[in-house]
Amino acid sequence: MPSEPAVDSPRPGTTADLTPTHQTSELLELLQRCDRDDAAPADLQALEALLSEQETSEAWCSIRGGLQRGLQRESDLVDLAPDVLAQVPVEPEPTAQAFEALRGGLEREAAQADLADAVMHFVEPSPQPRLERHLSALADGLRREARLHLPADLAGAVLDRVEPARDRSLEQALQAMAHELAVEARSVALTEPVMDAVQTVHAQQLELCAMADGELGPDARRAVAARLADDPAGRRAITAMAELGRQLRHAVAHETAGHDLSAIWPAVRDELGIGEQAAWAAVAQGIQAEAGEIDIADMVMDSILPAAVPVAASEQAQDAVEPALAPEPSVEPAPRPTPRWLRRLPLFSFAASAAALLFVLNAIGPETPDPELPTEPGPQLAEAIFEIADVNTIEIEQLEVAEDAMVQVFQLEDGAPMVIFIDEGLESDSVEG
Amino acid sequence: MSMASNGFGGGSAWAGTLAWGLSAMAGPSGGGGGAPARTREAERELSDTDLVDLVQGGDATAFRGLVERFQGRIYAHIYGMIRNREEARDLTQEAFVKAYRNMAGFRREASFTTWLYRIASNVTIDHIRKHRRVRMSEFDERIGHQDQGDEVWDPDHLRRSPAKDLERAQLYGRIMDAMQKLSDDQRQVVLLREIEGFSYREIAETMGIPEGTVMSRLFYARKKLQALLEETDDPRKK
Repeated sequence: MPSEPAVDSPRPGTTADLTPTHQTSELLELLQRCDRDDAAPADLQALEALLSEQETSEAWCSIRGGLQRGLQRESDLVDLAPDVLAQVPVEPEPTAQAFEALRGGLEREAAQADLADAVMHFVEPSPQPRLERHLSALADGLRREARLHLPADLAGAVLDRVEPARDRSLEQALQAMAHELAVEARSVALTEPVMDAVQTVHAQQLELCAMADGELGPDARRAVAARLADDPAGRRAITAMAELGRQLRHAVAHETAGHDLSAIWPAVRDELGIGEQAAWAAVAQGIQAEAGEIDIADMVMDSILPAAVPVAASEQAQDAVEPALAPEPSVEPAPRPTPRWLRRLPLFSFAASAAALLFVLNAIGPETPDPELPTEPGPQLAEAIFEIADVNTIEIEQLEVAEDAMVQVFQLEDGAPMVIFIDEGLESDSVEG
Repeated sequence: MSMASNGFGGGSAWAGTLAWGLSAMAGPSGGGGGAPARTREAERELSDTDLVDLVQGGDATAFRGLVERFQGRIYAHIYGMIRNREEARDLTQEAFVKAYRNMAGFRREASFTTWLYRIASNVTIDHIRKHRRVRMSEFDERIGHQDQGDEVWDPDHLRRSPAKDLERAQLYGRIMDAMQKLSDDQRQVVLLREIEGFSYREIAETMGIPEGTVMSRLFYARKKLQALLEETDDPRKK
């Protein structure tokens, strides 16, 4: 962003009246000139003057302020990336633009980023007057932050590029950072919908993840399954992913089993001043007054009064009034919540033996219809006809499925859990026969 | 069965007192009166939306139904984040208190579940950041840079092992240990997915991040978790 020539603009080096943007632009112009070896002596003087003022420049204060604000937020560096990247060119461009973009992105987005501790640790106390050192500190902070927060692949890519470059020159370090952030982080800091994201560098691995989570649509799922037929490593990965989730659920359930949660509601109620306790005391008082008049005091009060005052006892009394109420179970080993695609699973049972299989069925009548033809309305449930991939065999004892459902069954490893996807309500032309 | 019908006599006065007592359980809008005497069983019949309607309408006691309905799940989530029983309980309480106080601001742009989890997550993350007990994602060079390639954590040994409680407990302990080595964000996304079964969209709503970020975080979190478990399976890799 070149600075606009102005009649009254001060000469380079007298920056007191310039805005931070002007300062930065001028600085970068001078840096570029030096980089091209066509800087005049006056340029060098101006550069020196500018650099010496950077310590207190508003631009840096602004960046620091943004970063400090970022401390208050939850996002991490990955979240920072998309909007920063919107300004950072994919291909390395002149230093000025790269830095402007990086600075602008940081200024705009730091408030949402958790560059936080690491960056501030280096930037905040940095007493060095020169811009290079500020940037060097920033780079150190980014490196440290990348180690902490970036996915390993991205961190490695960024660091590999930045590490050797930063010691050679400021420009190379900046360009390297911008380039790597642009190319690599773009593929990780995904802002697009899931399927767009799948088109990125880690597409296949991410697809496996989405596949395991039931987040792929039928077509994508079919494509991944076809690929998995020839990809034993992928099959192992997806099986292990599912197993890991299962074990994690058991682990959490195991550790939280028996934890007493009965005190939570009373504590919440008391904190909020929801006057249940007072209400029960009032009930007790009413009972006491009334019972006294009709002289059944002792019997009634023996059973009621203890429940009226202490919280725990009042809960018991309330439970006595509300029979057949089971106590809140502490955290039971919770079965995994049934995914949506499985909730409407029709009744079926089967026995299978396969190493990897994919079959797609279209629950229709005795013949597989031409998928181009509209589906005739049929009975609610129909005998299913299976089209099974050649690679394996499967025995299905019985399967009932809704008319318009598409079922995909995967058993990726011998003995691995079977994964069943059911898509209901698909248009007939999207159902593979 | 209400106490007024218990046959102790003086029915009208009792009923009046009971009605007064229950009406004292005023709701967040300060409506005060009108909260019906409702059994827990009746509360369980109500949907989340019904209970939210009641609370927003001033029936504070309906909040009990929401607390009792969600406390186990919220507690498990928070426990998974911090792995401390007492603090998890306190934070669960705090989350519900905050939820109640902000109930008027719940505009149903998201489901109550994701809204509540968002509050719980914020409470937990705030707590972690304040205390820094759990060091966020200490970067492990070996884990970060090793080419994991085809290596995945293989739990086969567990399937083949006798189902001994001790062995299982040890495995679960290692899994929970490994979870604590993930970054807060990674741990959160894994818990929401694997424990709560949230979809990517629900996780995105809960955490306030794009769905794509959910997917990538989940992917890297699992990868790291597998690497950590693989490492503890085979100490020679340390």
